[in-house]
Formats: sequence, C-alpha cells, structure tokens
Amino acid sequence: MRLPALRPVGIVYRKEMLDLLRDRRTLFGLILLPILLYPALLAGLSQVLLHQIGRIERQEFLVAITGWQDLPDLPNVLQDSEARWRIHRAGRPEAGDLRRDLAAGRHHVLIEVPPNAARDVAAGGSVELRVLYNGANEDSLAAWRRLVPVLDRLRQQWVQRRLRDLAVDAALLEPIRVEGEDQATASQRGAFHLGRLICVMLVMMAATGAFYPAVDMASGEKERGTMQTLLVTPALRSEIVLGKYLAVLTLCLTTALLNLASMGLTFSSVLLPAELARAGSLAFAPTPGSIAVMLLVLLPLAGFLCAVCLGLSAYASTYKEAMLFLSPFLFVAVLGAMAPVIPGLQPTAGFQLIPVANGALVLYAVLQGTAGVGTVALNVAVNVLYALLALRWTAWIFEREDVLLRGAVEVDWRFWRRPAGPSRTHPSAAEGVAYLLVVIAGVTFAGQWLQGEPLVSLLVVTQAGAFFLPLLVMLRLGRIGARPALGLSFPGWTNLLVAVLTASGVFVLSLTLLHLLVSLLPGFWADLERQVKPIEEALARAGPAEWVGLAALLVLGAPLCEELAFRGFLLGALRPAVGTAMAVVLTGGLFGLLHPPMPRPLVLGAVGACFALMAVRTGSLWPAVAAHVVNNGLTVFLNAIARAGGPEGEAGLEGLPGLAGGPDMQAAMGGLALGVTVLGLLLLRSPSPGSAPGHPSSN
Amino acid sequence: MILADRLTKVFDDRKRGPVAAVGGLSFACPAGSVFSLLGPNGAGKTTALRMLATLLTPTAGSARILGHDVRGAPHEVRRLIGFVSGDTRLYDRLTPRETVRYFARLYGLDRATIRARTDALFERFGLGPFADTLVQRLSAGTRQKVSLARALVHDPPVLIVDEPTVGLDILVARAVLDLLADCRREGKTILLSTHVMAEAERLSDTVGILHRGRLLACGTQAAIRAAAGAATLEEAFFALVRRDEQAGG
Repeated sequence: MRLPALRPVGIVYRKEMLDLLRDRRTLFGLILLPILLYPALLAGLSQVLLHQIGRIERQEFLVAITGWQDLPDLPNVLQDSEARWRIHRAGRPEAGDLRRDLAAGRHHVLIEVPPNAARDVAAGGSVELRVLYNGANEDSLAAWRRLVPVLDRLRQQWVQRRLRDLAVDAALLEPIRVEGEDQATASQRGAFHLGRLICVMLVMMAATGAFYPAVDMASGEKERGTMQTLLVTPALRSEIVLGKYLAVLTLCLTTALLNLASMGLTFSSVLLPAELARAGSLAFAPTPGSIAVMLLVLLPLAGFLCAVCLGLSAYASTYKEAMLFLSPFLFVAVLGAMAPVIPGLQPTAGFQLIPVANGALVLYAVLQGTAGVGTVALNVAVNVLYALLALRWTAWIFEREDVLLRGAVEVDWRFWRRPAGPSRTHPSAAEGVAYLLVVIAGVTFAGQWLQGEPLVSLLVVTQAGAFFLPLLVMLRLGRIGARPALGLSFPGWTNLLVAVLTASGVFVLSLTLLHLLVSLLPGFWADLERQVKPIEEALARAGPAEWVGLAALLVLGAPLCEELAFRGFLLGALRPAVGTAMAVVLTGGLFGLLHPPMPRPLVLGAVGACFALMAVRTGSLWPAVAAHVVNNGLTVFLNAIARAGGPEGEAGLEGLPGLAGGPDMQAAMGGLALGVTVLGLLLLRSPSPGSAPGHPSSN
Repeated sequence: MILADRLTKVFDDRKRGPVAAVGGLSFACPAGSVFSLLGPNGAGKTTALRMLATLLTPTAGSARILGHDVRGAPHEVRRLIGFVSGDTRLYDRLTPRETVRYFARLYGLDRATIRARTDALFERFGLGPFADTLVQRLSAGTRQKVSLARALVHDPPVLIVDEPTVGLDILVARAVLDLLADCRREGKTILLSTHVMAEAERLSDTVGILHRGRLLACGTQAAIRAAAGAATLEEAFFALVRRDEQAGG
C-alpha cells in the first residue's frame, strides 16, 4: 500500500474549505460571531456593570434602628457618612414587625441597640449592637457592607474619646501600620485577571470551532449521501482524513484566533471603558513573543480537539448522532478549559498529561510570563502525541466499512426479553464504555460511602458491587457469552507458566519505573505514600485470620475482578471498535487512571498494557489474571518481609526491589526485567488456531 | 471483464445473528458488454455492487475487475470503475463544474484533460446551462446526469450503476438509459442493477436474477426465458422467484 500523497490531501482540503465557506452557518457561527460577540458582550456587560455600580453608589439604604435613643451617636454617624441612609427610628416593641419588614425587603438593615448602650459605653463597658440583614437580598447585603465601616468609625470615635479621657496617645494602640503596595504593572494585572477568562474562552472556542466543521465533514457527509461518492475514488482513506482534518483544523484555528484577536481588542484600552480601566488599573497588552508562544501551544491542542471531533463524527452515522457523541466530549473539553480558573493549579509534569486542561493552563502561564521553555516544550510534545493518536484513530474509523456505511445506532428497548438465539461473542464498544462508567461510578461511590470503614469492607463492596455484579448484568442483558467475550478458555499450562515468569519481570520493571518517576518528580512521593499507607497499616494491624482474608482479597479478588473488567469485557468490547493496538493502549491507560495518584497511573497503565498483550497473544484472560495475581502477591509478600525485617518507619515501598540499591543496580535490574518481560510476551502463544472473536490471538 | 467467484457478504445482525446479504455470487461480464443484476428490494444487488466497487470487503469469495482483485488491489480497481448509485450523491454547495473537476483531480487528471473532459461531458449531457448553478438548486434528473458525468470524467472502462432511474421522471429516465447505451457502444463494460425489467431487456447482454442474496439464474435473456419457460424476461423473473420462494430458499 502506498503512503498518503500531498496532492489528494490538498484537493480534499480545498474542496472542504470551499464547501464550508459557502455555508452561511459556518460563516456566522465560526467567523462573524466571534468578531461581534466580545465587543458586544463586553461593551454591553461593562455598561450594565457600571450602571449597577453607580446605582448602588447612589442608592439610599433603608435602615431601621430600635432603641436609637440609647445610642444617639449612631444616627448622627450614619447621616455623616458618604452613603445615603434613610433612617427609621423605632422603639424596641416594634422589633418583631421590623424583622418581618426586613425579610419582606421593606428595610435593608435593622440595628438593634441594647438598653442604656450609651451609658454603659461611657462607663467604660462594652455593648453589642445587633445588625440584622438579609443575606439573600442584593440590596440588603450592599447595605450591610456599607454599614460595617460606618459602625467601625463609631467604635473608633468611642476609643479615641476613652483614650483622651485617660490622656493616652492613640498611637500606643497602633504600633505598626500596614501599607500594602501592589508592584504588578497594569498589564501584569491584566494578564493575571483577564488572562484566565481569555484562556478559558480561547480553548472553549477552539473546541467549538472544531465541533461544527467536524460534524459537517464526516457524519454530515454520510447523511447527505456523499461519503460513498468520495470513497469510490482512488484517494486513500488516510488522504481523505488528512484533507478533512486540515480543513477542520483551519476553521478551528481561525475561530480561536479570531476570538483571541477580538478578545484582545475588546480587553485592550481601546474598547475597555475608561472608568473600568481606571477602577481596576488593568491593561491587556500581551507581547508579540507571548502571542507567538500561545499560538505554538494552541496548535497541537487544537490538533487534538479536531482529530477527536472528526473521529467521533465519522463514527456517527447521522448529524443527530454526531451531536450526541460530540456533546459529552465538548462538555469535558469545556471542563478542561476551565483549568486556569482553579486557583493555585500549576502545569506540573503530571498535570501536563491531562488533555485540554494542560493546554489551557499552559496558555495562561504563557500569558502571565511564568511558563518556562521546558513547560511549553513538554506541553507541545504531549499534545502533539495526543493529536497524532487521535488522528490515527480517526483514520482507522475511515477504514471501517461497518462504521462508514452503517445506519443509525438502534436501541432495542425489549432487550430484556430478547428471543433466544445465538449469544454474542463480544460486547459492543458502547457496552464497554457503559460498563467502564458503571465501574468508575461504583468505585468512587464505594470509596465515599465506606470512608473510615475497615479495608476489608471496602474491598468486598468494590470488587463485588462495582466490578463483578455489573459485569454479570451486562453479560445477561446483552446476551453476551461469558466464555468467548471474556476469554475464559484455558490457555494451556505453558502459557500460564510463562505469564507467571513474565509477571515477575513486569513487577520489577514497574517498580523501577515508579522509582524513576518519583525521583524525577519528587513532589508526588507524599501523595503516593498517602495512598499506599492505609493498605500497609491495615495489613500490619490485622490478626492472622484477618490478614489472610485481606491478602486473599488483594492478591486474588482484586486481580480477578480487574482482569475480568479491563482485559476481559473492556478489551473484548474495544478491539473490534478501535483495533487491537489502540484497545491495548486504551485499556492499559484506563486501568492506570483508576489507580491514582500520579505517577501510579503511568506505571500501572504500562503494566495494564502488558497484561492486555498477554490476553491478546494467548486469546485467554487467565495468563493476565495469573500475572496480576503474581504482581499483587509480590507486593503483599515483600511488604510483609519489609515490616517483619525493619523498624516501623522503614517499611513500605522503600524496601522493595527496584527502589533499593544504587543507580547502577537499579539500571541493571530494570534492564533485566525489561528483557524478561519482552521475552515472556514473545513466548506467549495461542494454543488453538480458532479463538473467540472478542479475544482472538494475534498469531 | 468483470468476474465474480462465489462472492459472499455476511453481516452480523444484532437480532438475527450472521445474515448473508450475498451468498456465493458467481458471474462473468465480458468486456464491452452489459450485465444486469435483477432482483427485488433486499435481494442483495446493492451489496454485490458495493463489493465490486470496493466499498465493502467480501466475507468470502473473490471478484476481479479487468484482472484486478477487489480485495487485493482496491485502489487500482477504483481507477478503472465509475460507480453511480442512490448512495453516491453530490455536494449541494458545489456547482456541477466544481463537482466534476473535484473528482477529476482525485483521479489524478491534469488541468487540460479535466477541462476537455468536463466540456465534452457537459455538452453530451446537456449540462451547459447548469454548469455553474449550485447542485442544491438542480432537479433530480439533472443531478443524476451530473452524477454520471462525475463517474465518467476519468473515462473508466467499467461502469457500475445501481438503480440508475429510481426517482426520475420518464423523460429523464429515458435520457439516462440512452447515455448508458452510448457508453456500451463506446466499448465500456457495464454492470447494472435494477428491478425494472424493461431497462434490463433494453440494455443487457447477460442477466443474473438475484433473490435473497443468491443467484437463481444467469445467462443471456433468451437462456433465462428458456430456463423459466416464459415468454418475457419479466415472466421469467416472476417464475424463478416464485419457484425459489416455494422451495423455501
């Protein structure tokens, strides 16, 4: 097969651009809207904001005072203040009615003066003024905020009077005066405050910019019946995908850049109302250098968004279905885009692995001038990798005749009484994703509900409730044969033995990798210890019987459940949908993500991929189960040895191989473990030529 | 020559399990002749044509177009065929000229050839007045002519046409059939699927009767009529289909 050529890619690209630019919806939604949106929004919003600020400044607040005769200074201080107060002087018997009036909004605040307040204060005592306000009423809250400095002034007057009477200098009470001085320039403040909004909007608009063209070019083309016209030409599917992808990327970047330009102009002093600019001392003036770096960060991020949108759209058979598939992705992407809004988030190496959020946060750091070359380079590298993976998946979708030529996905609501017939050999991708979501929800909720409960309870509930029961329900409802779908056929004793030996290599390799990552990213060590500690402590505290139960759950129960879920159901569901290689990567990655904190997901992702390869190569789940049992068994066993052999504080992961010894020793062990792993994986073979569709051997 | 050898396509149906849309279809269509696949809706005609046009991969069996295997050399096959079906529609927001040029470029034609071929096809199909009108404003008949022009722009030796007159009025349908007859006279090999007997009778050298994915009969019109003991192709078709249904096929 020949490689994709540039000419057909360019032809498809030009046609797609022409087609889209003739669509009024594209022009309006992706080009005109961003140009007009921000000036109109900000001009409108700032006018409304300034109007409201002015209104509140001019507003007369209604304050009721009961027992005012006992503190005559209070009405005077109120009248002397800058704010406008309308004072209702009332007697104490009216207090009940006034409270009701406050709740009804007829007064903004109610001050209750205790009896003989002035006399008690004059005598050197202390009285309590009760100020009642309505925290659910904007005006009442504003009145309360205005009242606080006024009452403070009254308090200071009394303090001054007392000090005068005592002939004490007021400076005695204020040995230190604090004067804060903001050293940030207006543009730095602008980048700090406005930058959040700008980066969030930029990423959101990039996602939105990818959405419509992707839907139009893939599922729209299917629905309009033009996809087959294109597919019968000699253009390679990869050339068609690249042409379409570049067109989506062009529109996505155009939308994002128009947004950036429009926002930049809107937020710059040209369009920013003078009062607002003065009030906040803000200016938005990013340097050309920072704009260039932002573009560099934006490009792969947009590339990833476009590839996923195009792939999802190609997977859908109709426009409506594409909206259904893309909306959740857009929602997740928007959540990721909100990263700059979360205070204190830093683009650490671990955070950089989170798609979309990584780009949004690095864009913000670039705008603030705090992103180093390494941060930007890592971000670009990660997002380029994500974009390439997503593009490969999209190209693979375009190779699939059953996806490209199928009708709309049909839901049979009578599935529970489906007529008896041959059971299915593997679950669908949708069923796989649904099961994964159920597992994630189950694990999360079990963790929340059983917080503080014994570890045994948590393990039993999680394994039985979150993994096993949903699996049984999915198999039953979907009429899916457990044996072929989960790969339950016996792989032969040789494969099991090889899997066990390979697992020892995988185990040492995983510890070496973990050690390497922790030494590179020492900040993660505390999180890691926090996660592992409860298990270690539970094992240490347990009596012999409980220890055996816990160890059985950790060494046998967890591997069985997790393998049934990830290398069984999920792998079987994803392989026909995304291909074996991507299914191995995905199940590994998802398995890793279920094992926080960083850097465990990275290490366990790789371990999960190794287990998936074992299942794929043998066409059976059992080698993966055996390997997982060995992995967990070694962890528990070595933990027990470490505890028995050393003092309390030295037990734990530090005592395990791969984390001990010098760098040379670790490198040697890592190399040896890698060799054992690779050799073991190569030695695994399917015992029978005909394997089940869900778990066919790669041979 | 188009050669199908036990061509089979099985779809995995969620409710019914594996369903053979086409089972063991074998026929030969010599170069320069017209082979018509006749069959009712759901007989497997479109699936068979899609396999020959490389849009679907056969589950079993093989097919060759001018010596190129549809499974092993799909790109070579695509260069040799023009495919028109109800599912090969046109881009609404392009004009006929832009449409034909776009596909001509994808077939790797140079600029001068594209211009010459486009002008010739537009003149032949009477598309000149509509050449620069957006496709979305064209009538169904004109669109079908543009589709044929699109399929013929690279001058393919083989034309695969699925139900070419569906939805067309009698005048346009006649014009489309005339165009196909012209293509045959030019020496093109044509594989036609239809359920309109008159079309098959007018154009075909050989005919295959397809029912429930299986070929019930294959041969010249005279041979089919003789085999069914019928006077016309239509009567032969009904007799063969009825016989198959009675046999529980």
